[in-house]
Amino acid sequence: MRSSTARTLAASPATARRRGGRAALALLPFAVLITAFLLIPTVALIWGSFHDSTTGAFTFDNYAYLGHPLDLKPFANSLELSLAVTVLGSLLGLLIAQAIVSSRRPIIQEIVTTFSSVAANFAGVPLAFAFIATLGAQGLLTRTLLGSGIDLYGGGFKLYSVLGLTIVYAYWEIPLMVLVMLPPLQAMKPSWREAAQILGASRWHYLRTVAIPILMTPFISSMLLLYANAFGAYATAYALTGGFVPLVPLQISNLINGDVNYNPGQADALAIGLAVIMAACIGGRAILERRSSRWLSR
Amino acid sequence: MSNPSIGGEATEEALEALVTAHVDATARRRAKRGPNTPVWTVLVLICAAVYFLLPLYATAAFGFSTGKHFTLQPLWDGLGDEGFQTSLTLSLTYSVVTTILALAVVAPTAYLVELRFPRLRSTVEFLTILPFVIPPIILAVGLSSVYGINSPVNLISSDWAPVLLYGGYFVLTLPFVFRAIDNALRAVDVRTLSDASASLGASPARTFLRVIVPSISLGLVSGALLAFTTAMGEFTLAALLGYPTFPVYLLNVNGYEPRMGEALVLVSFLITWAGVIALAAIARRAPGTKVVRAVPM
Repeated sequence: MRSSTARTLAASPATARRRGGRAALALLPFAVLITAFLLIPTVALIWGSFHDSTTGAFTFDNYAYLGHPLDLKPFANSLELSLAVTVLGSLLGLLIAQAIVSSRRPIIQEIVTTFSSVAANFAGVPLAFAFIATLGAQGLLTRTLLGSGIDLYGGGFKLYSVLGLTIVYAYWEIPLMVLVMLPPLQAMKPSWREAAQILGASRWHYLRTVAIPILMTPFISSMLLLYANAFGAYATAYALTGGFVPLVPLQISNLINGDVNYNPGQADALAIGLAVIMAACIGGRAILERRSSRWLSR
Repeated sequence: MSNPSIGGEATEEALEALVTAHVDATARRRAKRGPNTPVWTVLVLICAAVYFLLPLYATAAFGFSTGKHFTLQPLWDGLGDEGFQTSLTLSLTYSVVTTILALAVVAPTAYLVELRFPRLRSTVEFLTILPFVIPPIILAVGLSSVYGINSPVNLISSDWAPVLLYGGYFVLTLPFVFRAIDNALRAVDVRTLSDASASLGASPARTFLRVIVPSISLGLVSGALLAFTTAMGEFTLAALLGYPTFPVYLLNVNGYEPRMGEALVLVSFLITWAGVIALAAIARRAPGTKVVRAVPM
């Protein structure tokens, strides 16, 4: 086997085919894992969404929620929450990213990007409890504000509401925006602005005709990412609300775990609804990325 | 640049050189210091710092106190709690196994796709972004209907239960692990390395282990860190499929022992931080390394 230089170089078609076969064999673990834990569950989900959970008969009933305003409430809530946090997160994230670029201090950039990577990964149960300690009924900020005469909870604020969740979700959505918008912002060359100024353009004129058109594609693409991330998030919402605010992910888990409204078929149908929204965001991103401005490819 | 002589025969040229040198030096000084940092950037960054640091401070203030005084007692209680220790051990086990599984399966696959099966690339890439469309909450529903207690293949109540979570975590971490390894593979000339290795008589497996793996080590390490931190912090699959991992314990303990719970939340922060800061250090050496797992959690 060792002294096979000549043989390798002049491998006969038969050995080549055998090699190809063995190489294909090495792909088997990947194929098995993906099939068993991604493809089969997905197919089962689709199948289950069209079948009655108890009788097993074919039905469209699981999708009946699409026609009932009351059953669409979780979608309306999730939509509102995701939209609010996307707008908030993308604007503030863009502002912070531009602040880093404008500061022109490498050390600030280093600190902010490292912290952003930490914070963007910081979703779930720990984040929920950090905010309960801050803005919960007995939270530090709540009590401090109460001491200075501002009664948040008396004023109707609740951490486990759409507004509260928006504030919490922003904790990972803003840094995510910073991280995804930093590369395009850095790719904006100072010489473009200078060229525009020499040609007599005002600051606003430069923004409107140069900066915004170039940055629009990555900005919208990042917003889609933020939107999908907010819409599909489960752990943070569950830890904060215990499932009381009807959001799509919480509703799905109620349907497969709840004793009262246990209905896996409906859970499947809701999950398909969620997947369609996720697919629209991811697909939209893919399309935008394909036509991403050539100005930004360095 | 040497100073032009002052006094004596100050020719036209020397004066010109002096002016040029002065202009150059000013420009250089300005470039070095940079234009003044605008005030608005300072304001924005201070506001951001308050928003991002306040919850951390509040957690510490609550978790490290008796209500009045500073104490680390809740932390020691938490670290000594049996539930904490078992759940953390369980999470560590799942995370280590997931990491090894992900690297051992994804690295050869990405290598072979790059070298032997370029026609499979679009399929594999599609499969690796599929978990973005199927976030954990959906995957949990799918897995519980196929392998749950009401299914003929009831993995959950069998001795094979851990396999279900390994498989689920393999899928969840796949996008990050594949991207990290694939980027590293594309940065080296896989074909030339493999041909050279084969011409020296190495078998394909030996080539992979002795030539390819060392040359993509940074990609493997960042993939490993991404997989590990994802599995350590994962709540949705574990909670819905019924595995008492650390995040699940964290949720429960906050219900009956809030100070201890908040102290342990800080422990959980530290684990995430260690992983992400290690990733950031790698990203500095290997540009293009992704440090963020942008999947709904």
